[in-house]
Amino acid sequence: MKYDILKTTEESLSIEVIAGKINSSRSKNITKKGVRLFEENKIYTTSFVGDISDSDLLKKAQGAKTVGIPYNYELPSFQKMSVIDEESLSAPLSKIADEIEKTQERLRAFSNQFVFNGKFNREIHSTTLTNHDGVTFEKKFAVNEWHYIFKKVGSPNLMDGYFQGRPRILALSDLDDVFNKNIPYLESYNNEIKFQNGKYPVLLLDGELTSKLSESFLADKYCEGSALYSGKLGQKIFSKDFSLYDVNYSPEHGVYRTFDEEGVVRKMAKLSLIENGEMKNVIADLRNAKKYGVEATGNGRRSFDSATTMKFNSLVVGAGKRSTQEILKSLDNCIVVFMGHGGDFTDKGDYSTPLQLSYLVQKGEIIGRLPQLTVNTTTNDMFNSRLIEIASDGFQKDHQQPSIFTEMDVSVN
Amino acid sequence: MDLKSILDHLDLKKFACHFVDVRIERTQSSHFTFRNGELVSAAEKPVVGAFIRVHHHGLWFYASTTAVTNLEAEINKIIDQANAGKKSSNTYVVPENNGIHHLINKAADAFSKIPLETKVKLGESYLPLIKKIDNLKESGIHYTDIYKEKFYKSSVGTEFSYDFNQAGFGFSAVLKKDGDLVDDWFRVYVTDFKKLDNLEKDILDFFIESQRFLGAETITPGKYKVVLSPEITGVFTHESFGHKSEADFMMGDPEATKEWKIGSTIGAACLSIVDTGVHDNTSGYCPIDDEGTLAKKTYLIKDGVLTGRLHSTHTANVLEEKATGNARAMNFEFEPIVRMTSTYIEGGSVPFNELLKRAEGGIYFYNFKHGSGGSTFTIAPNRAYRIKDGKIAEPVRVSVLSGSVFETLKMIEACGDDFHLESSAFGGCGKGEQSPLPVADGGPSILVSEMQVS
Repeated sequence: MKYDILKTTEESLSIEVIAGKINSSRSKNITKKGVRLFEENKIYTTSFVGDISDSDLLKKAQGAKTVGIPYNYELPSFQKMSVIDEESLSAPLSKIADEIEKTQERLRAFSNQFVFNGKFNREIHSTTLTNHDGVTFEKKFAVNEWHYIFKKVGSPNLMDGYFQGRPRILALSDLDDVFNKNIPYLESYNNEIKFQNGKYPVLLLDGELTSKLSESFLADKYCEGSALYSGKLGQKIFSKDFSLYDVNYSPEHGVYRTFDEEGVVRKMAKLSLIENGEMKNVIADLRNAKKYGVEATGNGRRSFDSATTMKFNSLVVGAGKRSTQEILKSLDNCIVVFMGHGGDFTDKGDYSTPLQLSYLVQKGEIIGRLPQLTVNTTTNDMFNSRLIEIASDGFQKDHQQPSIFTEMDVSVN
Repeated sequence: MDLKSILDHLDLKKFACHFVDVRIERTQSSHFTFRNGELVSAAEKPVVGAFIRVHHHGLWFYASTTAVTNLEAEINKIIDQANAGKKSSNTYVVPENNGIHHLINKAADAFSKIPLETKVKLGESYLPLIKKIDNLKESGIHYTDIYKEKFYKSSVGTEFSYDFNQAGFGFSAVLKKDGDLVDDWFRVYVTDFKKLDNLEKDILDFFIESQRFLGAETITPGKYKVVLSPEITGVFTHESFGHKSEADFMMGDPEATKEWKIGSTIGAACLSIVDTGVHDNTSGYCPIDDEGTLAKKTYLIKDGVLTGRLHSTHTANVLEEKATGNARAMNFEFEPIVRMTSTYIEGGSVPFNELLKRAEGGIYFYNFKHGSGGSTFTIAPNRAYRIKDGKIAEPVRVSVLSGSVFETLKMIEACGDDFHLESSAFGGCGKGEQSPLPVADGGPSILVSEMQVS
């Protein structure tokens, strides 16, 4: 009998802070398991939340074979692999509480003007994928995440802004970096300035500029012709300064996906999707690789209880030469966007989003907070004729995505 | 496993803490997906788990567990954790005993009783439609259902159980003609499986209309007079004012109750907004919340005047108001927080055609992809049309519809006579880490004098 068992364990401590004070803490330690039986070219799946032995789960699965998903691809041969980030795991879960005190010290000066509500979470993720031969892929790492939502006292808004950190280890330097980058903007919050509609360089720190484009790299959408850039492989579609990669291993940014949940191992950590403006590759899981005659790229994603779908490991734009701060200092005007929620693309690739929180920066100097704006551009333009520059780094040290500066039409709401 | 019996044998009054409650959930869900005519996913998912809350020494301590037969030990572990930390005074006023309410009544019609094979056969019956839709490049046939039972008990004596049963069916398609793409999705919500039969004509008619969007122009960004369909009115209500009515956003802000003074006029006189969990057979059904507070009809706005907000027992405590039955958790892994149930604008009396006549040169919005609320609300529409000569005219492509909540509430000029409460089994409401939570929203078609369209 051929099978594989995917087991995930999440152990976490999450602490909620309201108006600078701890309100609650939540502990979780839950194991989830899913088995896939491969019989006569059909896949039968069964899942369980809680403790159950592999043999009991297999028995359960044998008794529940009702609907099988047809498959006609070769199963990958598993090879023992272990990815364990010991450094990230070294601190106890309770260590996350130390971060709260440090952040409170930095925010104290603003407590009369703003209400800061936040959440601090430390999770230990453990995943194993074991097949019928007893060969196991294993990964274990810790994730630390914290954020503060801030609201001006008396504001009718749900939130006026936020900032967050996602450090691999709980180091003071990472926390300092988040505050050093964000506090100058918070200090300028009360200085709302007037704005003239027009075309401006925009740095969108909150928004998915690549979301419409990314559909074109899914093997099924690309090959069926239902994506915006179907049929463009090998062609130059964007500026030579624009490259895009699927990255599957980057511990600094919490990416540990050297094997996918089908057991496919991709040797290269960085798969080129666009190189210097030319479309290079699409991604595929085993099913779609077989169906469309492309290579399986280690992008088969599933949870313990779901079927495999193609997903990016981590979609990252190729870095440029100058840092984010250097580019900001070189631009006469730049709109730096901290909140641009709710925007979207039309099926043609037209993009628009309201900007709930943005600032005007001139030659690196924060001039003031801008009123509520709307920006417009298109997928074609934003990485092509209107692309200004891509930075060598992100706005914050823990941002994996380099800053993208692109021109947009900007108008006051 | 008899979950009620587990709680019956658990004496919560004996624990040495300020307050404790336990919620056990048994969820049985299933789904299938056909992509481009092939079955790519089909599974049943059983889950049983419990969430424990302890309030002690001035703080909340939570734990989620699948060890539902070992809850006493879990509670003791949390109390030990509370005793080991800082000790502050308990400011949380424990809720009243709201009585015992056992409301499980949907088991006979539970979707979990229908074999997965039967469900998948339903999907297969719609496969021939793929060849009948013009310009089709990609298709998906989707099904999801859930049957959930909740059991609750608190140290003040409140007990409840109820069940929730819903399913959704969808047919998605990407159309392509002359290089132009249109992505659209037909969806239905049911609480009776038989109602998913014989949808062929509805699906084909839906995609005949989608064809009109091939080649549609993109809107020139600007401010437009708009008419919103009941579905869009619903998402507007949810995103624009519903989220702002959730009282947890006021926590820690000493000025909030002054700025949000009950009795203030904040909307047009024709505007009344309600939230209530009492509507059975909708995705907003929540007869009793996850703290044991019974659902009621809460007017958030009545005739343009601010009349209420949504509370958990904690926010009601802090703001010295009454709990409203809106403390809800996404599942057994999370604590209840303030959430909406069914949120809607009450129906008016103006015929739909009259709304169109009064919106000459404006835009009509029919359905949507997603919405968001915050300082501005946003709606990403799917289908939008120009309004000409008092009628719906040619389709137009729009990325996003947005505006300031308070300005827009005052710009509602008329409410139609076509009230509809919209439910969905796909997706739901997201708040923080808890997404999706089933909710319903709706209203009549409404005429708004100005919204930002881009």
